[in-house]
Amino acid sequence: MRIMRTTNDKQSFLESFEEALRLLNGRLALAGAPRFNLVVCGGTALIATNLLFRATTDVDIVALMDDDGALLDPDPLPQSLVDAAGIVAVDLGMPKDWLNNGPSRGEGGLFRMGLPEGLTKRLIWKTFGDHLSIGFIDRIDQIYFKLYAAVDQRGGYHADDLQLLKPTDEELLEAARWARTHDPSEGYLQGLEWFLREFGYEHLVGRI
Amino acid sequence: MNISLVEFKSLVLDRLLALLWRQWSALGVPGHGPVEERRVIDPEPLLLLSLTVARYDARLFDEILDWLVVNGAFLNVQRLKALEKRFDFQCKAQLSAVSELLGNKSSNPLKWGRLSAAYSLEKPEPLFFMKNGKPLPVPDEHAPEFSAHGLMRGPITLRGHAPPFPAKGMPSLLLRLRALLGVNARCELLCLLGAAREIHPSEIARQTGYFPRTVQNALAEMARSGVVRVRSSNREKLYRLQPGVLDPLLKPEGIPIQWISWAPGFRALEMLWLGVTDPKRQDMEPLLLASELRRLSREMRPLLAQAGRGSQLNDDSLYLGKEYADIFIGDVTVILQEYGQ
Repeated sequence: MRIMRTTNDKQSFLESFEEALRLLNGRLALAGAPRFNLVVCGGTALIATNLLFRATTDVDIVALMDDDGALLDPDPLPQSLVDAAGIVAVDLGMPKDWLNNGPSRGEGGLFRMGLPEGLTKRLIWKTFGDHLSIGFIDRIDQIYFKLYAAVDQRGGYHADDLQLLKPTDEELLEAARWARTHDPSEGYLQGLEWFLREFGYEHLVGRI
Repeated sequence: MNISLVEFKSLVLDRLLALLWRQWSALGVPGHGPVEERRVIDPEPLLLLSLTVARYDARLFDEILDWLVVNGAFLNVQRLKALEKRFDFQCKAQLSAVSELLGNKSSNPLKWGRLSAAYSLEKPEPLFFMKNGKPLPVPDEHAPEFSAHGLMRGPITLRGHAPPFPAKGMPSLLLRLRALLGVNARCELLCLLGAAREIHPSEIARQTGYFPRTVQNALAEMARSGVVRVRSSNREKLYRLQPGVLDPLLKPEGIPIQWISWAPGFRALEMLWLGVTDPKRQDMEPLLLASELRRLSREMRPLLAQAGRGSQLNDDSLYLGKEYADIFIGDVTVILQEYGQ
């Protein structure tokens, strides 16, 4: 069961999240690490961009970005970033992998499969110090990723997130087209149709 | 944090300097204030800690030099070098400079020769600092023994009023044994034997910094005197003193020797001092400072455990974020207080 949190929960989460990332910035500075620009999706991005609030314990990195705006593969994550995040985890009692590249890990990850057109321009940036900035993905990119993940995992919390984002029919259709570029197989198409039927978007099945 | 880093540094420095004065005064350095009375002082770790911390008290530093000119023959240079290396004391340049000075003043310059050539700072820096952390101004004329090692200070004027170490009392016991038996491992071995009912050679090696083989060989020979007895237990040999024989020397008031494993504890204290004065750690926001104090405590913990004080640092994983700073400060305050008693 998904639990929607109260405003106080949200404030508390945002403060903890801000604290962890400011500490991460400090640890990176102390280690003499370069500046990192992280492109973040998932629950943290949903909360940070005020789209919705739900419990989450991790920061999902979908890409890195250099200072010229070029996206970089986040797999593997730079060691200095992993080391600094490990110290923050100990300091704040967070899970070891609170900062992770899960969505873009490996050949089947989002970065190597290809990110949505225009994602970079839509990023919403927040700076946590001289060594750390985070670009949170926009609502439409969340819809792309959530649909893809919801079909891939046959529902789950990604489907919940997607419904809470209240996508329009056109947005869902765009997301479906993007998702099919990642997996053009007949099996995935069937999964997509199943999802649309099961989650109240049956009228879109014929328009994919 | 209940107190600022500046206040904490000041507290640490005051306690460390008081501890050093207390111990050196017990060995004859002219000073003031309370003097170590009960515990056997281990001069090599004491010198290693002093060479870092007494940079913030030029008078103490030079009183120690004065004392070393008179009593340096009773320091074990080989052990000094071994402890410096084993625990990675950060006073390498100062040790080289002091060794060069003592080599020049000593009737046995070869004794200090190996240490004096050992280390120089790449970038020269002032030797002394004021208590607020600012360098003490350096006159135009420098002490060559120190400037050769990258440490800038004015000419050394030794007052020559340091007395020989006291010929009685527990604090100077190790030095007195060295005067009696020569500067060798047997003096520390007798101290440890006098402090315990019986003891395993590896424990003596751990507490003194000598190689286990050195300790085993020396104990095996000492056992042939009849003064040291050996007992086999579970294929281990445990050594003890024959009761009564050396009591006038080792237990003059019938009280067993209080031997402290000073070397690892003093290295932890040096680490503490260098840690809180690290320029990188000044003017940090509280959360990052707490993170750094946690790192520092994790470095100090194994050393304090070796010194028998491992339980005095609270488990940092129980205190998250900023909360740990006050815990660390409280723990360190107690540790300094107990070292200074």
